Amino acid sequence: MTFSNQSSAIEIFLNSHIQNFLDKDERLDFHFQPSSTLLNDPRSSKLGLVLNSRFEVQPKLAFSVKNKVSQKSLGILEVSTTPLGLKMIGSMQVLARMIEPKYAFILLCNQISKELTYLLADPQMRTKLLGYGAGKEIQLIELT
Amino acid sequence: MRIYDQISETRNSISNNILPFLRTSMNFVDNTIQTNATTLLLLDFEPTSPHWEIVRQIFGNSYNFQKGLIPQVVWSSSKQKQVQFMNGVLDTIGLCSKGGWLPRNGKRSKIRQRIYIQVVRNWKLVVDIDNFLREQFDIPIQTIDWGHPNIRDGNLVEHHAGNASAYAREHQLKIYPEYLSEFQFRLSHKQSLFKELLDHNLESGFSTKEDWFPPSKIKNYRAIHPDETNPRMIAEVRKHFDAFWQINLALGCRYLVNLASTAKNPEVFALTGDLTDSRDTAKVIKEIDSNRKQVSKPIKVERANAKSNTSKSRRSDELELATYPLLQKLFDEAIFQKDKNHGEFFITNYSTISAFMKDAPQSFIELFEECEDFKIRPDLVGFDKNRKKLIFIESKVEPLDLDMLGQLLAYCLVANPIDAYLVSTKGLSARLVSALSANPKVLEYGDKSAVKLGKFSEVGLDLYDF
Repeated sequence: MTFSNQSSAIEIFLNSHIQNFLDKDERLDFHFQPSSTLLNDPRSSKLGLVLNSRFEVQPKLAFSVKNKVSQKSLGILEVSTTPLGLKMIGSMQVLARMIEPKYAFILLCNQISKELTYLLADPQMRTKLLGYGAGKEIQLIELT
Repeated sequence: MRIYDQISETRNSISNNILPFLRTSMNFVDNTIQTNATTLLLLDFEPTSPHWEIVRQIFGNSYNFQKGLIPQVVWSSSKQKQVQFMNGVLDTIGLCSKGGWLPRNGKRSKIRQRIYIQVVRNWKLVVDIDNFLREQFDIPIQTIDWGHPNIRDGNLVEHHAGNASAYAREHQLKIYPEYLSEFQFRLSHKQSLFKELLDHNLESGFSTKEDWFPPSKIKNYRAIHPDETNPRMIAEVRKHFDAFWQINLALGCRYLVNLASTAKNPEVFALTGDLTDSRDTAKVIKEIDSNRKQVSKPIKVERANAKSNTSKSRRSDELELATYPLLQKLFDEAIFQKDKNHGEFFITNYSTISAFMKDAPQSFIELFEECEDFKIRPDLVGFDKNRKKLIFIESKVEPLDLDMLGQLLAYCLVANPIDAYLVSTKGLSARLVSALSANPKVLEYGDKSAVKLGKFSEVGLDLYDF
């Protein structure tokens, strides 16, 4: 499926799909597309974070989820409109390692590049490229 | 015209045909990964699984498609098992396409369709398949199209057009479908198309059994190609050939070896295909050399021009390109003390490391064999011969930011270089300094390695400490 712009892809994902990727007792709490780094965008205060200089990053979308006991967790999302390659995986790795969100999604509006497909087929390489600490993994989400 | 949905048919065939077949004799966990261009079927065995042990025993060290041959046990198996083996070969590397026809005189058509078996890199497997089909099934092979410069670009047309490596594609065995009717593709779209091509040939009424073996005498000679000794090709074929079957002979085709033993001069037979020529070999070589020189003059590969052309297409990066020679000099001095026996930095931004290795010296290929799989493109790569390790350099002319770091980090996660440098003439952006100061672990990769950041000028290189 192709999308006219990134925002429409994000909207569809938030409205129809995100719940499938969250823990059962979690619900989407708040989201926004930062106009600056998370540290400088005033809306970041609603994410329930203690902001410091690690948050000098600007993902395409930042969101928080809340569980039954009102505990908040952070998520970030990037959108790939061209075939997903190593470069974007690297950018997301840096973002995810830097701010350690519970969820790091890459929304695919296009396919995964042939080279990356081969790399990800190797379980060890997949863990290296997508893992970002304590069992967490960047999730590649294809909207179909 | 019928249109096949290859993506969905491949997916469905794997689920409905291939996996149930495999599960009749093996236990494994499967995973299928699919894009528009690629489908990967992964079978994951428990390390202690007896089925995995059987697979290991059958294939031995032939664990990848680049070097694996038809296992010995298959050669001596029952006909039923040999058919199943070929079914697997056809599913994976068999190609049915209406574009593979030849002009031939049939009773009702002048188009004779062919099936291709396409083999990437693995030269000896091609001869293995040829000999296997001949010996076990009495199947004629119409011809073989080798990915060798003399065969694919015998008149240097592609070379002169600037496509110097156009020949370096898969090898193709070409077979008429009427000889493959006892086999079956399990991928449904391939089987349907195979049936179409088979029916066409049967209805067309072709009667001749074409086979490249025994080979014809060589009448036309090929131009001398600059890539004839390309180290990317296996040693047996790094030489000049005037006909495709000479490659089969060089690779040990048992039919040709037997035939050559009946020649009056086997060496002359290998050069000309003439079984009756008893002349002195040196005399024949002299005559052939003269013929080849008439076809064309040797051409030198202009590597420097090739780089320059690539650079021209990246005018926006001219400033960055200008930094590469300086960095090459700086790092050669700092890390290898200008001793090429210790190691050497190369500018590699114009191609992937894998493509760069294609033209690298043989000594490099032996030391850094794993590099042939790296489809990544760092600006400069240092080859440390003592440690058999790589060193990556990414150069920028803007202040370094998180995206630039991400690019190099991804390269590092793939190739695990011993060192990796992200350097700029402008140093680091304030945001990157701020973020990394709070969480320098972002720079880490592999086992205790970390990307190093720095600022450089003609005077030298300063590294930042996080």
